[in-house]
Amino acid sequence: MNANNINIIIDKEGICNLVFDSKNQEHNLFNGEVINELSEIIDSVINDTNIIGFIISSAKKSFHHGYDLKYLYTLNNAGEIFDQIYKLSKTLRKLEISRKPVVCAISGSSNLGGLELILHCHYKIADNSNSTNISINNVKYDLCPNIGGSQRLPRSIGVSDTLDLLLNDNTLSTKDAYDKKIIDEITNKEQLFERCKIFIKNNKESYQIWDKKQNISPFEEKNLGYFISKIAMLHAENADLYPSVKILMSSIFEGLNTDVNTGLKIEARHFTWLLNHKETRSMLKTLKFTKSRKKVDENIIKLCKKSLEENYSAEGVKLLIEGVAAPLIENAGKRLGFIDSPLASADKLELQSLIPHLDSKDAAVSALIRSMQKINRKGCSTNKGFYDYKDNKKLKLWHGLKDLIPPSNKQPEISFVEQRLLFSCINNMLYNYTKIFKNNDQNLFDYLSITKMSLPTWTGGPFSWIKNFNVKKFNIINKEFEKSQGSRFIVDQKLLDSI
Amino acid sequence: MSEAIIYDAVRTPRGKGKKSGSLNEVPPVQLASKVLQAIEKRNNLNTADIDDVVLGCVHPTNEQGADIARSAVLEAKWDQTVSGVQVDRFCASGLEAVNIAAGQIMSGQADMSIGGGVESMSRVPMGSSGGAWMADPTVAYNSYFVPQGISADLLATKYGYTRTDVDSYAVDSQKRADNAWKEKRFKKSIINVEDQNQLTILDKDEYMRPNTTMQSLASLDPSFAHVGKNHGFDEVAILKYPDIETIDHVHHAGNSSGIVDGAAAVLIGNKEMGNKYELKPRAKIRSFASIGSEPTIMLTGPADSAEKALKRANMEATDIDLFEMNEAFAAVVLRFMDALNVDHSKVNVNGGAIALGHPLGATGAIILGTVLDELERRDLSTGLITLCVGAGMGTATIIERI
Repeated sequence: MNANNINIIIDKEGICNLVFDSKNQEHNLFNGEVINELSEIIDSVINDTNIIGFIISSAKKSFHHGYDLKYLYTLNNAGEIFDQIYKLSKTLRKLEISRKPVVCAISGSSNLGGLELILHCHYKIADNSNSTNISINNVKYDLCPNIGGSQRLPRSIGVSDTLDLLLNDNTLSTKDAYDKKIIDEITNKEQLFERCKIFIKNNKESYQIWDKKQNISPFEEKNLGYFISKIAMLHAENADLYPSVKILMSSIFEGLNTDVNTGLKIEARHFTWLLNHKETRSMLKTLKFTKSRKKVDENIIKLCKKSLEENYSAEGVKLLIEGVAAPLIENAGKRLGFIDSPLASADKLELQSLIPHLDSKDAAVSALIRSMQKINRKGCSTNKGFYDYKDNKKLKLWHGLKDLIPPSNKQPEISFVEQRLLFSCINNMLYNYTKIFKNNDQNLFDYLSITKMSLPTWTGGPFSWIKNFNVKKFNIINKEFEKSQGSRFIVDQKLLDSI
Repeated sequence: MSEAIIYDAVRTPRGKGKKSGSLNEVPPVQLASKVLQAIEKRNNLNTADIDDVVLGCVHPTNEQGADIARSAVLEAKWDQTVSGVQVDRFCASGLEAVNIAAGQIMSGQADMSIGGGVESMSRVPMGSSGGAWMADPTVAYNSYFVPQGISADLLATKYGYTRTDVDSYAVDSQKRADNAWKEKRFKKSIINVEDQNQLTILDKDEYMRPNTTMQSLASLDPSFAHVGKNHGFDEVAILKYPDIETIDHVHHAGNSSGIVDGAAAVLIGNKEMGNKYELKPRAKIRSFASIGSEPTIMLTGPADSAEKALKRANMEATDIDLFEMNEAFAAVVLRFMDALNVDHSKVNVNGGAIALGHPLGATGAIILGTVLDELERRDLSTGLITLCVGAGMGTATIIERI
């Protein structure tokens, strides 16, 4: 067999070692070529009666890093994505149900995809070196499991531990992985293969626990309550901005109501949808493909961040002056995924800091700020601002605010308030890109804006967001805003043309 | 179209829905068969003349599973030709069952049917039947699922009902129920629950707390504050209702419906069947309606369903003499009265589920009997029965005495 990425070594005892060694790559990755190769290899060895078991290992310093995201991005339609994802799942599943023991010899780093490969094995041995670990990015800012992880993890460590693992950033040392019952044995580097061979020789047949019995159901009493409240907590935390979270929950829930084979198909369908989801795709593009991490002066980043936060808060106060009810403004900010709501953020920044963001048209805003300052409501420093505070803890909106600025009888839709806030922030970012950043790299600015300047991550940065939203539409809506709001909704046309 | 005529209505007393409740020892199928037997006996029926038994039951699982209506028919030793069907429209299941039975008569596809319901909340606890609505992430996310108590508090917040408002409504409910019992106003419909030796197990609604006062209620902690604040539900509700800053948790055990066990049955037939058995026609079903409404606030359906039923009957709210409404939560009733501009003196004059309890699948049929008895006692004509329903629905029925 002509294998470029996987070496097959069958020893005289009949133990078949599948050694991943992706060509021209730092780490082992799955792409179309590797999957085809793997599929052919597995078909050729699976029924070989001379083989008594399999070892999965790596020829690289690291163990395995799952899918090559760049490759996934070359897949352009749902059918293609689904076929590819499901093909790898089915291929590895063949090995898992071959009855012959499959053991992995884990040495070096893995990510979520690597962990998913590991989970196919009946017995998992890792070496105790410091460089052996499994690092997992919070699925919120990443892709969901797609090589069976959403099916195998809950079936082996339970639903709640699975979600704790996947919905946080985690780097598991070998010992952590052992404690979480993700791996079965720790040994030293020298003995790694020997220990694998011993397991194979001692076990003529191996099964996964989920192939012996259905051991977990979402409707079991302990899981049902957990699911119901976890869904709400995640929905509350992420509003409707990060679909991976929902996709993960759905893959687990729907998969656990059936067998693993069906669960893998369910996972592949959900993943296909996610990979085709425009916003998620561009967020990941910004987060993962920004290689040119040129050194940027921290002061410049700080200036941009401060400007954005002040602008965001000032826009909230302007909406308030226009008669928009305060809860609507605050909830709009939360729904957009900002860490603080606009008026709460104004309190944190101190009301005084908003003044530079006002122009002659905003006399009413500065008047409001002045009258609040007069009664010592200056922001968090005085424990009083738009909110009341006690021991630095935010209580409710100040009850007197309604009397000072009465809300209009007719309130806008929340979507209008969200759009005003977001457009104002995106425009502010574009302005800062030209005036403060002055570094002609839109990708880098996108990256910094969501990692360091407190623009919500889901946007993928101002330029990505505008591209997704549609440049022309962005322009039209800005022109509308400009009529009532003035110059802060004027965008540099040349810059827009360059997106 | 035939007229659907109500000839009789019976119910069990409501037992506290916990292990120490009197009806906890009685399996739900027995509760259901007892109300069927009472209907048979009181009306001297040859049960072979009954076409169908429609029973509401909200958790049709375990001993309430496998079509409890058919099991109840067999257990009541009714003719084997009588079919049985279990229906679930959450809290309005019992009324829905009556409406379905009435529909069978009106359409001429049945001559005599039973609409009723049963729920042993002490033996088959709430939540036993699971459900995609709250547990399936796709459905729960897309529908902004929150538990009903959060919806009730959201409703109170949105329409400005304070803790004092809901508590004073609850005190009234207790007073009215106590007065109704003292004046034996439930006598016509209530049957004793007896064991196999004809020894009485329960002969009175046992959930009531007639000594309830504003002070005693004030000491109760809100029931849904913890789950709302710590399990994300308040925020999910606010995602749907962004005009609200925080949810005011005003409902507690004392101003929400009681968890109880019970069953009820209503005998509905056409004119010919009434003549055959020389039954006194007590009322006719004027109209009925179910509606869907926004599912997160969930509990605004009674007004919409009442309006739809009124429209079908070509009536106005002012044409209704008495309203009987499930007191799922005090704010639900307050909102209903405001929405339809109905005075409290016409609504739940003998108290409601806050004092007497709400055996989920049975309540709709129970309160239809209650209002019919009261219309007769006061010699009034028209009654409207309505319940709020899970996942944002409402069901209403209008009856008129003959």
